[in-house]
Amino acid sequence: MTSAKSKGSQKNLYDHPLPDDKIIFWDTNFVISALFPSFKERYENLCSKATHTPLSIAELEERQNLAYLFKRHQASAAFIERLIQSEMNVAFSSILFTEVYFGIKYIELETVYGSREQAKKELGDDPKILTQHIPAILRNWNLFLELLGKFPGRIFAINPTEAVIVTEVLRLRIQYGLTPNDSFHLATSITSGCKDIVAFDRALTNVGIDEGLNVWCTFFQKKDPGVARTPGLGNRPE
Amino acid sequence: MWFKSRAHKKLEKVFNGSVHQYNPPKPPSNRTVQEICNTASMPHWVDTDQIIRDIRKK
Repeated sequence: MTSAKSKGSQKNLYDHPLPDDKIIFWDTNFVISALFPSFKERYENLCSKATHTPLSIAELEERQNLAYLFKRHQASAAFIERLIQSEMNVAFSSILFTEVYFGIKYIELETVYGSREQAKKELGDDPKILTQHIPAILRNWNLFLELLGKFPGRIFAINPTEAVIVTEVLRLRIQYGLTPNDSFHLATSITSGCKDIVAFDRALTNVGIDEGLNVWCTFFQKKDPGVARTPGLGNRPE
Repeated sequence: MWFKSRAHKKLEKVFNGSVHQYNPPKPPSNRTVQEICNTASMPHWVDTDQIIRDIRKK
């Protein structure tokens, strides 16, 4: 007799007790969320403007989005602090290093060129423009390493060389249509036998829960006034 | 070299030699996570989610 796979659950970064096996997997989005409080200034400008002028619909939506991302940044940083205090072990697919590099590079370019499209165009036209951004990219990269350094001997990068990981990646791709990188992160976590992953990507979160993982993805606190705890990852305004 | 924790052994049992234990080159900094993250300043609004989605489309 075969038993149906039991579903995992959503975990709250503030509230839930950390896993007993002392291992938690990271998705890249979590690391980037923790590192960059990029939206604070823009958010505060919009809030300040709202005190004397009604905001347009687009501005209201932007403010809501920024509030979500800023809360997520705070929660991610607080969660890392919590993991450090509890001497948790952290594991992730080694593709995370590459993804964080790309993330940091594009964040830097976008801040300079105003929009992502423009940043991509400038980079496509002349890759040499990266030269002037090397110090900023390296500075942020070193901050990432500084974060990892807070877990001495407790960071494990898993190279996707085992056939069992690749088989699982293919299954996730076929069954759920996940992107390749999402599939690598999830497949590594599933095959490890560990149950916990911290991720904010909606597709990855939904599939992870279906596959029996505990996905650490919500972060609204009970004490937050006027903030609805919506089911699913729908905390993010659409 | 760090001793092998229970977590390390558990991961090695599944992934054999594919587990790389990251050894930071420097001792842990005294800064809090919040202090580290606050150093990563960006002057403009950037949708970090969209950047990750773009990376994953490739």
